[in-house]
This record gives sequence, C-alpha cells and structure tokens, in this order.
Amino acid sequence: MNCKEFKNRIPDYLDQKLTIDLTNQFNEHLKNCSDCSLLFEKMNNTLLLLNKPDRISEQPYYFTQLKQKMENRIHPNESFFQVLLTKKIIQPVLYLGSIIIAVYIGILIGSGTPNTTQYAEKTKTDTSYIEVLAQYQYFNEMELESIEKNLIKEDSFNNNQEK
Amino acid sequence: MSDQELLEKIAIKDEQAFRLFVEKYHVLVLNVCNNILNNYDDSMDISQEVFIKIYESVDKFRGESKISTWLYRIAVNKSLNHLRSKKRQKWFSSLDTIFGDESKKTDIKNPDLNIGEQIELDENKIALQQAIAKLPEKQKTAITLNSFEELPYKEISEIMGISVTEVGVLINRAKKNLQKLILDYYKNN
Repeated sequence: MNCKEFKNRIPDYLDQKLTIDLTNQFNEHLKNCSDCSLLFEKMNNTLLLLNKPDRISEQPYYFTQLKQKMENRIHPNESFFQVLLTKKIIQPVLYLGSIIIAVYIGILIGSGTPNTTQYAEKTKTDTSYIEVLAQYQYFNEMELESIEKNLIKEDSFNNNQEK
Repeated sequence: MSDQELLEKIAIKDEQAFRLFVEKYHVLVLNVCNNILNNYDDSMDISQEVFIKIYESVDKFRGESKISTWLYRIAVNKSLNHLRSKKRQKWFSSLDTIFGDESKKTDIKNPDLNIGEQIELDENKIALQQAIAKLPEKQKTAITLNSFEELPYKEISEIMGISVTEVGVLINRAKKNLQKLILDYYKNN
C-alpha cells in the first residue's frame, strides 16, 4: 500500500470496513511510514475531541447583561422615527447644505468680492496716490535715517571749512 | 422551586423567578449556541435572545416535552438563524469563514499540557471546528447535540422535529463527512 492509497483508506479503516487483507496492509504502512503515521495520529486525536468538547463555565454577570439588554429593548435610546428623522433626513440635508455653502464660498473667492473689484477699477485710472506715497516714503526715510542726516551735515561743515 | 413553578411565575413576569431560571439554564443554552456558532461573543448574544424569547412567550410552552428539550430547540433554531444571516453578509464574514474567526473563539487552555501539546491540541480544535462548520445544517445540529451535549437520539429527534432513524442517519453521515473533511484539512496543511 502506498501513501496515497493509505490516506484514501483512512475513513474506511476507522469505520472498520476494510477487508482483513487491506487492514493488514494498512497496519503495515502505518508502522513503516512516519508521515502517514503522523497524519493518522493527528486525525485520530482530532476525532477524539468530538467526545471531549470545551465547555463554557458559569458566567457571573450573565443575568445582569441579559436584564440590561431587555431594558434597552423596552426603552430604546432612539425610537425608529427618531432614527429615520435624524439619519435619513436631517443628516443628508445638513451634508448637502454644507457642501452648497462650501462651493458658494469657493466661487466667491475665485471671482473676487464686489468691493475689491471696485477698488481695482479705481486704482487703474487714479495714480496720484503713487506720488504722495513716494514723497512720504522719502520724507519718512530721511526722518528715520538720522545717522545719514548727521553725516550729510558733517560733510557740508567740512566743505565749508575747506572753503 | 420546580421548573414548572418557575415557568408559571415567569408567565406573570416575576423577575426573581426569571433570574433563577436563567441562572439554572444559561450554561446549557450558552454551550449549545457556542457549539453551533463557534464564537463566544455571538453565543452570548444569541443565548440571551433565547432567554428573551422564553420570557416573552413562556405561556406557549405546553409542557409536552422537557424544559431542556424546549430550550435546546429554541437555542438551535436561533443559532442556525444567526448562521444563515451571517452567511448572507458574505462581504463582511468572508474573513471569519476563511480563518474561522480565531480571535473571538473561546480559548480554554488546559494547564496540564506543555506548550507543544497545547499547540497540537489547538491545531486539532481548529481542524475539527472548520470541519464541523462545513457540514450541512442538519448534520451539524445532530452531531453537535449528540457528541457535545451527549443527548440521546430520541431527545435529538424531539429537538429537531425528525424521526429517531433520521437522527441516526444524519449522525452517521456527519461522522463520515467529518473524517473526510479533517483528512482534507491535514492533507492541505
């Protein structure tokens, strides 16, 4: 008997359905082949577990959990209509509203606000502010740069002496 | 207090009687559910459903069979219904089916075994659990009640609503299928 034949005959061997000749061949192979012997042992041990099941022992808080479950059913946190109203109507409307607002804000940012457009139009034509700003900047710069001012004064004093 | 007295008091919604009844029978119901569902959390959930059903419909118990038979019947039906609904959710339960939902199984270690023996025992358990899970529904129920609950054929026939002969046929077929399935498991692993 080869390994393939042996494996195929295991169920019949366990049911004691093999002929005496085949049973002898089976036992012979079982003795000589370590792989098949290991497989047969594993199978046997597994089938033995059928008669030795794991049992769950007593659960100390079982009744408390059961009672909680029953109370939750009698007084559900949310009724069917509440769930329907919140999850099927209010929630989608809120999502849709926030998407519309976000898109509207995006369009506004993209196109510019009316005030900024008006200001841009005005600055295109009126350039007087540039001159005012330039004068002010120059004046302001001179006011701030007091060291330079002093140097200029010193230079003009020296020049006068040389003269 | 006898079972009959307990049921009469449960019928008038006596909480103390219900507590006593649950404390007396929850291990039995929990183990039946666990042997069919092979998942501790689901077993806890479904076994509680069994007691809720009993609380709500205790007046339907006619007393023709033993209370335990009635409990077994409800537990088996609830567990099988749960398995059917789980099968319908194939997208979500495919991983559980492939891997046998190892994380949620009851893991009762035997302190007398060394690590090697414990690993071998665990492997054998997985092989058996996967093989039982692959059995047809009726064979699974019959072999579970016979092997794990050690119930006689007559009581199994009352629970399943079939003849004693049919129970015998189912158990024999289940054992043969289990041998083939376990053999296939070890051949492939």
